[in-house]
Amino acid sequence: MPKLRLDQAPPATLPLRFLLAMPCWGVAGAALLLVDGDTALLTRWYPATLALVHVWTLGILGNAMFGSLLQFLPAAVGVQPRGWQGVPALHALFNLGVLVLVAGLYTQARWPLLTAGVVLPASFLWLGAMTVPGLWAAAGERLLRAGIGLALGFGMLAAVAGGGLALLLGRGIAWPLVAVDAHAGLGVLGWIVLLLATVARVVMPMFQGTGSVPPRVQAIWLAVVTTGLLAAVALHLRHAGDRTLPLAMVAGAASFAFGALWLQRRVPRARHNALFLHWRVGLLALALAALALAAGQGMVAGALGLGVGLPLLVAGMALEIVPFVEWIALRRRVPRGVQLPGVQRLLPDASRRRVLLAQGAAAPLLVAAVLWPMPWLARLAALGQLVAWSVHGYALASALLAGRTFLRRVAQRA
Amino acid sequence: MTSPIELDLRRLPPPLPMQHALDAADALAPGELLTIVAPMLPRPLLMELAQRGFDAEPGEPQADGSVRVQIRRPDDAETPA
Repeated sequence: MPKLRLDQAPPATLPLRFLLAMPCWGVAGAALLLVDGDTALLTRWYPATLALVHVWTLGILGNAMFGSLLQFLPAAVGVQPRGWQGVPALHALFNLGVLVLVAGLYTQARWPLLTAGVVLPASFLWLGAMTVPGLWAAAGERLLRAGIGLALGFGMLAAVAGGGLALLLGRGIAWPLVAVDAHAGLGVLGWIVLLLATVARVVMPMFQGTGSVPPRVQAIWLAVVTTGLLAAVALHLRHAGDRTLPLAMVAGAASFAFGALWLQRRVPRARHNALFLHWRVGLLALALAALALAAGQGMVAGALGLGVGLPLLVAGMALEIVPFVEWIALRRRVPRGVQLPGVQRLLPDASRRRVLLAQGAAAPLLVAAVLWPMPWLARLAALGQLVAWSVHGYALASALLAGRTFLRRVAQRA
Repeated sequence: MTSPIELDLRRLPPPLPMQHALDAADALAPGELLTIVAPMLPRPLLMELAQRGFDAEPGEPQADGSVRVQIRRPDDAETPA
């Protein structure tokens, strides 16, 4: 077994900045909905709606995926990101890209769109350059490496396609609608769902006590989703109005959601921790989103999938990762012999459940605001989102604060 | 010097295996050995042990995925200045 090289090891806190940005974007999305409640949930083409969708997919989900990957790759696959010293700059570039894209989509202003059209693809390509060579060169964990590599590939494709669309809009050229759908399919199914399903292979048995999917089944699923998505995108680009792409998205998302719910069914109640419950509610919402998309209810599917289901899955993981990496950082800084508080002391399960409660209360409001579009209901949904993401951000911050307080006490005693 | 200490951490939910393994490793005297049985190859643990100057040697994964790791605190004379 090769020895670990310390000079290559990034600090444990590397993913934190991405994970902490996630609730900030959640609050920003709530503010957007509060201001533009009358239009943001009516159709997918309103500027406020496009801006809100990208707050969810890039601000919340994108930050969560970037951060989780940086934590997951060394821990589970043994791959150190190359040039990890550039992570703070990548974080700044990515979030600047999200900010100008959201501002550009909202105001339809030229320069923000043109900037985002370059910055966001560059961020994804940078992440790819950091991670893909290591994934390619690593040994073992073939299924994990294949899933993550494919998801990264789809993420880069989606970002390049999205960047192209932003450049078109910035130059006042109308969007080819089939390209918008292709971008959405690549991003949501190829990047987000594929990555979550791959990571679930480790996260679900380890942290939720579920059984595992047989490797052959997961490999077949991965191959079918990958080829199916590519074929559906190609068909969609040739024949506008073809239903293959939405059907591919329905099949991919539903098979992941129902499969994971099936795995969760035998976990004894005593092991239903906050992460398990986040995933149960998130997977149910994702399954409902797939059914809504199959029924042609795109807006409902978007609210359930992008506004509720997928954010709950990554929010639950962030509540595990943040206190854990803070605990590792503490461990590295306190002298030998000092008794450390456990990870659960930094962020107790009760606090994590409060986050779920807040998200769980906000979710029906959001879906109701799409089903019955009324300004007051949209603004109530916005308030729900505001509270939910504030509670989430407070929980993450309190875990860090508990660590820093402990360090200060140790320093005072020394 | 060898030690009979062996910790089976397979049934603990994460992150408890890592917490217990690091606590036990910190309690080792110089030259003392500890063996843990982790539910899977514990890469984050190996990284932390290396960071803290321990020698850690993981064995081959067993049929259930578990991995036995031998952890040793180096003698003071072996510790780099």
